[in-house]
Amino acid sequence: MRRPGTAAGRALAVCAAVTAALTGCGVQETDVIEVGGPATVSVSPVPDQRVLLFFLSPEGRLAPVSRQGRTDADLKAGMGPVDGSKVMTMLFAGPGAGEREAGLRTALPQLEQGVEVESSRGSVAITLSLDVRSLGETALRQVVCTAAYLDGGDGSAQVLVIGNDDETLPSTHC
Amino acid sequence: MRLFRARIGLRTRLVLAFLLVAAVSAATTATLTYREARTAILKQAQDTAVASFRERVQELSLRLPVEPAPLQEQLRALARQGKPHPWVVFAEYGSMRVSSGIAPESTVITPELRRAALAHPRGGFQRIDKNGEPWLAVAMPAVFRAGQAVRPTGLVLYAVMPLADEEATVRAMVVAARDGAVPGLAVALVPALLAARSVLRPVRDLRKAAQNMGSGRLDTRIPVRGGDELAGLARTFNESARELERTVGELREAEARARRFASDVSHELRTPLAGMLAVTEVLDEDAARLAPDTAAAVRLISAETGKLAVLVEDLMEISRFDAKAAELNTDEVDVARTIHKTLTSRHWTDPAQVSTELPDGIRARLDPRRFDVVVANLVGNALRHGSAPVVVRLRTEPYGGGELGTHGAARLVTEVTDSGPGIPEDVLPHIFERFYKADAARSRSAGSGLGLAITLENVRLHGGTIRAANGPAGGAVFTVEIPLPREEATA
Amino acid sequence: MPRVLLIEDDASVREGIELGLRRRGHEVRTAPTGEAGLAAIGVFQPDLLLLDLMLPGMNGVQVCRQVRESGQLPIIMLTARGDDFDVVVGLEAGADDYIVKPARTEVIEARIRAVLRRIEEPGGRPAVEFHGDLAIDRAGLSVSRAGERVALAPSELRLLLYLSVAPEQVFSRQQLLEQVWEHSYHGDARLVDACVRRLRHKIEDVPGSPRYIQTVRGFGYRFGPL
Repeated sequence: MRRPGTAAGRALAVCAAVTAALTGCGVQETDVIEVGGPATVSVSPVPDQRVLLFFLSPEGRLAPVSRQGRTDADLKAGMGPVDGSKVMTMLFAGPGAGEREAGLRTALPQLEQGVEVESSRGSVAITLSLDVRSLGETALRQVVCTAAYLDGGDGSAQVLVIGNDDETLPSTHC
Repeated sequence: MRLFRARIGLRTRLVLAFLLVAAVSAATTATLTYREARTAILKQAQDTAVASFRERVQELSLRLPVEPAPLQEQLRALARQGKPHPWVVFAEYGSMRVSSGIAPESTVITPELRRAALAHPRGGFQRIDKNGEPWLAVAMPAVFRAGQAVRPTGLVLYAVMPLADEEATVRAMVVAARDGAVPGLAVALVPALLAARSVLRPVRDLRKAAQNMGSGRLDTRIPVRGGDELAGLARTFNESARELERTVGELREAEARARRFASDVSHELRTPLAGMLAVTEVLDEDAARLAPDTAAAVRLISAETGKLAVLVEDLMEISRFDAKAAELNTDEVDVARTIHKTLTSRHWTDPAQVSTELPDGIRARLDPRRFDVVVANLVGNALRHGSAPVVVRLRTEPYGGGELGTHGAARLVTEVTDSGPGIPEDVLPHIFERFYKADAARSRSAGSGLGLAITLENVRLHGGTIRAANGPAGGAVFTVEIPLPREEATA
Repeated sequence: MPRVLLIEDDASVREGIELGLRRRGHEVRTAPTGEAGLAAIGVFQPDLLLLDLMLPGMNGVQVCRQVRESGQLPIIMLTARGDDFDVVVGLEAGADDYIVKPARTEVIEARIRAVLRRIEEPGGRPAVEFHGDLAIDRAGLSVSRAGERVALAPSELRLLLYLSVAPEQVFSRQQLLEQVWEHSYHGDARLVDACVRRLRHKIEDVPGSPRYIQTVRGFGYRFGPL
């Protein structure tokens, strides 16, 4: 036979639990809860007129920078996009003064010679005059992402990075 | 727990249990409802905040890298559009910190929120308790469309707003729940008492019935209501009571038959004895003229006839007591005079044999004939089994042993003491039993063997008590106490 | 010596009592039934009737009533049970005394003598005393009320004479038992009560509120005061 004391004990336990639940009243802290997507903002200059370079934020994340490429006048004059090797040279030149002020930096080394860019449909080959295996992962990402938007690309191109000793890294995309 | 249960009555325990259940269910319901409501209220606030913040942020137009001055302008515009509450907007971009307020950096935003906003480009929020006040921080990473893809700009906007209103609403709900629960419990007390009553009524019936049974009313039965465990108990009780009543009835019947038989036998003996006793005198007178053996036989018959008559008379008397047919015919008498008459009529007048200490003036309402039997039996018993001198003492005593007050209830105490060796301790408890023989070897005493039993019955009929003991000097002491009505206690 | 008529249905009792009383010099006649006894009264002219209450046919109480209707023959009842209702009924019917069976002959004879004893005449008193409507003739042993003679049983007459000797003096029932019935002090007080009731019925104007035989609660009875 069950002792009645057990039932009473249980009731007390329930009571205690309820009391505990009630004492945690009011608004409580939470962890970070993700709700929905990010906010899509418009960035100027407009896509046709800009050159996208990818530098690094202080935390080491990719930080895009949109520089003026073609002007309205250039567009009207039927000028093509800014030359790919020129863009790559801008990348390797590192963030400008204003950009540095915002905390941007680069992981890429200074480049002594130019960059060769060969783009075809859906793929871009970048030939660098340095040992590409010495590039860190973030540095490589900077190169790949910047390359993906060369020549009015939509960022989906496959990118081949080729070093000075013809070392070719596996093709990736941004 | 056991001590607890022993101290608190069944009713209290039932009511407490009922209230406990009511309290637990009320509290559980209140808690669940409260939690749901709280969640809904906060969800509403948060979702509104996140959605409206995203909407506002999407209206922004930036340059990359972000320039602090125009951003601050935009943030201030944003801050004016806070929903559902005014918010302060903070922007973090690289090492740049800009806000719509005075401080460029918020103290509310946690590193986790920052990390999460930077790691995953998704809207998010966190409720933060800052110095006891709840805050909501919404993180909104800004992305932009670049070709096919959407890329983080590296800019994260934060909206920080107090949740004081929600807090107040939630607290009001707690107060409402508490204020509702307490009167609810008070209301629950009524059904609790009713339920306890419905459970306890059969228990109370059972107790009353058991008391009735205990006080001899064996025809007690309990009404059986319903078919629950208590009804089963009542049924069992009734069955037991019926069986007990039947058994006791049979026993009483048998006892009554036995008593009637004893009574009938003694009664039937009286008629032949009446004839015999009337002629014993003739036998006694003529015995002297008979041959010695015949004379002895005749005298024996005469003497034994006399004893037999006494025995039958005593048996008849006991039968009357057993049949509750003995009547008390009281009269107000002078007690000392009554005792004196008893002794005189038995010729116990020699002070060396029987001495008295009888104060004058004690009057009491007694049945003189029965009181005479009591005194005569006690003195006769003392003379027969103890030894002379026998002392008869009379006094009145107040109940409780104090001074005899004018209004206090009193008792009449009659004491008969002999000068013999006293009564053996093992005999004392049985001294008033019928035909009890103190000495097993002595088959028949001079008396009927019923004298003290009849004495006891006569004293009881007066509402009094009798006890036998041994006095300090060794003799047996019989003490009769008869209650005196107040106004008759005149010492 | 008194002539005693014994009505008793049990042969051995009848024979035993007759034998005992005859030895003491009484002239005894016996009858086994009430009817036979009533018939014998006229023939035998007894001084006293010993009457068993439990008789076949006509019972003792009926015999008692019938005897009282026709005369003042002293009656002593014989009863088997001392406490019974019978005793009360018998006393109400007019019996003067009763004896519980079994009894020794000396006890029976003592009762007979007591009932038959003539009341001693106190000296120096007028032959006839008047108390209210009552005229008590101590010499003639008769009582008349408003000039009309009242038929009193021997015990009633003895009680009235005893009480009226000392008007206003209270006698306890024990005293009356001793003096009037010559019982022991501890006798049956119902004898007195029954006799008082009978007496009141005969001499009082309103038996419920008596003038002559008054009750003194807690003590006993007294004669008067008128």
